[in-house]
Amino acid sequence: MHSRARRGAALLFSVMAVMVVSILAAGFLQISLAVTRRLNSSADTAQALNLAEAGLAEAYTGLAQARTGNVGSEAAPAVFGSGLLWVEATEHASGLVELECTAMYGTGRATLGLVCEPVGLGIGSLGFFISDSVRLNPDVRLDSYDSSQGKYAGQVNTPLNNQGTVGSNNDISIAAGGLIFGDVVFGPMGKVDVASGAIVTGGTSARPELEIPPPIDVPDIALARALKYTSGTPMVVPPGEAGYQGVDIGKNTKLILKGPLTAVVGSLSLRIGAELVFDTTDGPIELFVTESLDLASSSVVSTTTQVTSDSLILVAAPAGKTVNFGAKSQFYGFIYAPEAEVHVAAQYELYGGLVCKALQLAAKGRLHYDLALGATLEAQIPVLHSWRVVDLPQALAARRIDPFKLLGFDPKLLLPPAESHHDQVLDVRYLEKNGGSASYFGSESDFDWSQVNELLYGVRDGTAFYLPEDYALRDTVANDPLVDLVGSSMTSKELRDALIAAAPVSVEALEAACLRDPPMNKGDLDSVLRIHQPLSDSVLSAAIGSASLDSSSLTNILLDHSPLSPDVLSAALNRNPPLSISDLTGLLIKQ
Amino acid sequence: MRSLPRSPRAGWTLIEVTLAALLVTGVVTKAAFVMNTALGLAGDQTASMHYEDQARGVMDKIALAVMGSDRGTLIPEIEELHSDSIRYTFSLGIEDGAVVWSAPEEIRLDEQRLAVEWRENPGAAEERKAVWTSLVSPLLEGEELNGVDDNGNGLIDEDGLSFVLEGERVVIRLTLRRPEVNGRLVEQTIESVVYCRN
Repeated sequence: MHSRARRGAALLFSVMAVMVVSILAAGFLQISLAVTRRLNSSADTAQALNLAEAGLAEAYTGLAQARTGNVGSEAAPAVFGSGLLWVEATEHASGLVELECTAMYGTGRATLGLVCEPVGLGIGSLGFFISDSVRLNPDVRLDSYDSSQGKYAGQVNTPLNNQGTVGSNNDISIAAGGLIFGDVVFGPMGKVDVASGAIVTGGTSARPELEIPPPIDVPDIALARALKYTSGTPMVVPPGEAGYQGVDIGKNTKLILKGPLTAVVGSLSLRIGAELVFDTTDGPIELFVTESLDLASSSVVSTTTQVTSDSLILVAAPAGKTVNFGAKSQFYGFIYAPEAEVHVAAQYELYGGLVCKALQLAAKGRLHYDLALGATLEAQIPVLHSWRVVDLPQALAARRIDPFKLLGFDPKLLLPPAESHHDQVLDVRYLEKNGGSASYFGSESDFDWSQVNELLYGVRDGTAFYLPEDYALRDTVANDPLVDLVGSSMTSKELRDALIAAAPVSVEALEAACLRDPPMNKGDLDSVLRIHQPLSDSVLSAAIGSASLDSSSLTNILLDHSPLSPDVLSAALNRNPPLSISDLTGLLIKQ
Repeated sequence: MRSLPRSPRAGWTLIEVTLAALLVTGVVTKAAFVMNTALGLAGDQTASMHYEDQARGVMDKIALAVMGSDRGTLIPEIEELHSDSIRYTFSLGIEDGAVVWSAPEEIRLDEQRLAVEWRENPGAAEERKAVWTSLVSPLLEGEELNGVDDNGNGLIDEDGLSFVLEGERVVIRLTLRRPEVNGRLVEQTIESVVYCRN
């Protein structure tokens, strides 16, 4: 046995050794922790920078899609990749937009800025826009087409015919019989009044803010003395520049403007029987009118081409001045009169666009908005001017802790950047998951994008952000405005008038009319079908199934198309309620 | 209280004391050696981390400056050749409706002081400058002044700070170096490739 006096020496050394090892271990642990902290901090900063870049990209892309550029906010940031971010967009008077994205990830913070210039959509994108309140008289028709896709006539009843826009900074009222193939966008504090019997195939909504048409910058061209032209020989204004204090084209005389031309005229009047020709064969024409414009009701205005952007009439008349487009015309161009009251006669059929302060459109007037005047999708990508690193806001830079704890957010309750764009009015047509077509018009926040299988057409706050080039070639059934018209609450007579006015209408619209519920009156449907003869088998089959037609009316239509195809004959024989014996006999004899 | 009887053989013999002393000396010496080595390693690691931190910090500053610069205003403009300095301007945002650009700035290697120097309005009366680090190696790690590409990065005799323009990209290389008290040389090299955003 060991002596008690020798106990304890080994323990002393052991304790010393353990202490040494502990001190070393603690030292290494401290170093390791310091390394980890530094690495984490560096990684967090890099992540925050990446998040800020992603946020900027989201906002920039949003601008290209007619969004505001604001993504989330400090009060409601967007969550992305375990961090959060928000983008503030500031629009400057010069048109430049400054985006600043602040991102937070762990202890990392970053704010990046970007200056870009959204592509000016131009006044052409406004469609038909009237600053003051406007009342559209009975039986007017406002619709759209795309001149880059062909002529108007070939686009009637296609989706492109249904994208017109009537806008105002105030109220819009549409009298009975008015047909608006597209949307109505009234002023922020305004309202819309659609009379019974008037149709708006698109949506109605308030614009988010006032639209202020820019003033006209009249070119500085020396003005020759006022001219009164009465010669039988046409007066030709050659390409280049021209200026007159006034031009008065007398009775049965002709004025030819040859493009490319910029002309400034104080007062322009076209007397009875006079003719004004926009010859844009070799180039565009810009006609500035600074005082007054009066195109008499028996005068004629024409364009040699159908390129709507080539014929511009810019009326810089003093505020409150009335200009009169009373001539007989199929005018392919754009009329811009931001301070004038414009009177347009029913016989002045405008293909293009119109922006004015006040509008008097005569009953049965026809305005066809050319979608080609708006910006294309590619042309809407903003021009990038600069990118920069922005100093962090002091409050955010001070406390480097988990941003969700710092700002008190539950990441599960925050939206991703793509869903955090500021709310706008959305107008979309799309194919659903089940293949059916649908449309939506309203606040984007209320729209469920997950139900969209394929987007056909999209507009935000009146600006198209998606319009494929082959849109016009797509299935016309999906978006035939007349099919919507048939399904509306119009009376049978109103529907008859509308379908006859819009003739020829699509097969789908006729089928819908036959099978309408509540059914059209016998005489109304009969009138519509007769004006569209010969009818296709599918329309005849729909007519056989129609509750509108009695045995006699139906037999008359079928006799007009005899001999019938086996399918149609079979449908007629099996009709419920059946045709009368005499009608059936007559039909079989005609076979 | 009764005391225990003391044994006449209590205590250590001379041999035991000698052996214990030798053992203790050996253990203490070894422990001291281990501690010294560990502390040396820790010191090296700390120094290395310190330089890496500093290098990264400097590199981040340089990278952000170059990233926000206008590619068209970078000097020198010659591509593929290395330079130990770069001049640039960057966006300050919008003022009075227009994009405002900064006064020219320069980041360069001060070869006398082996320092990375940032200068605003270089050469002008209102010049301002700051030293971001003064631990820069005269030549990039692995490089010798011999007219040969020693470190295989495609550059010959490049300095401890070098910029190479490749289209919209700028390749930045930085080596920090410092001899430690024990004579060891601690080097830290960082390379970064950034794109000019403007």
